[in-house]
Amino acid sequence: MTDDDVDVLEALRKGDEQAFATLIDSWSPSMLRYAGYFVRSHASAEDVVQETWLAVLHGLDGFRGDASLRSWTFRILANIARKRGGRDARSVPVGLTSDEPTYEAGRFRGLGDPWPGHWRTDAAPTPWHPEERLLSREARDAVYAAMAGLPERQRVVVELRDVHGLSSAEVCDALTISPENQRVLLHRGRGRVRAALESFMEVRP
Amino acid sequence: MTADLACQELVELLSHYLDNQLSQQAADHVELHLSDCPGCQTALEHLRTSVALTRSTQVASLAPDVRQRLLTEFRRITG
Repeated sequence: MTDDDVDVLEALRKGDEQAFATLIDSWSPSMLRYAGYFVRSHASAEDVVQETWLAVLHGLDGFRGDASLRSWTFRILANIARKRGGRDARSVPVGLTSDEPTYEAGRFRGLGDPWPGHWRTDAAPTPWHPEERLLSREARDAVYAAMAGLPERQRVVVELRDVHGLSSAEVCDALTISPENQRVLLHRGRGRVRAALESFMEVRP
Repeated sequence: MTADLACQELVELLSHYLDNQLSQQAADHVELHLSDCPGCQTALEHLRTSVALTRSTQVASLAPDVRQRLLTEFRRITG
């Protein structure tokens, strides 16, 4: 349990509605995202999130603080979402064995080169210019499209970590994956988004 | 360019490096390489930028009626 949790819990137990509103506003987007991984429709995801918040409210007195409040909430969410989605039985391969390099092999020097595996002079990444272009709606759209195109497990890990700011431990806990799997999925997903952004920045408007 | 860790290997460590998930020894190797390799410095910067932009992508929020229902329930329980 974090120091913030102590304050939040005290506020909730005292009936501070604003504290509860702040909590649902800040955590519900990531909870919806997570629930959407198990159930098909947005409406079902919303049901799962609502049910979770109700379970949290009713369970607050029993919360012992052996995990953070958010981890505890996500554990409840995971149970409800799995039950609702019947997803447990469905095995989704993590894809750890697939050979998916972050950058195309052709961008590096070959074995016959004195510096094998180092950037080819004409293929090394170059700084993105102009920087303003990174702030454009088109750049955001390119990132969004890349995220949407990620394999499901990569997407959910990237979203929970990089969009919603969950810790790696929280993601492992919620998705019941090992830390190593989490790292690989995140690395692969981030690599694809980065590659999409690189393509976007290379095309002159 | 440094000889002990090729750029092709290093780029596979950058995401973990960004998250401080590498062992101290591996992080030292990465930093030594980065100090002398503009290409990999840029690759790290690109990854950082990409992660930052990912953070800004739109996310769904809870429907107002669901939110209201929860607040009502909160008042009922704690009231």
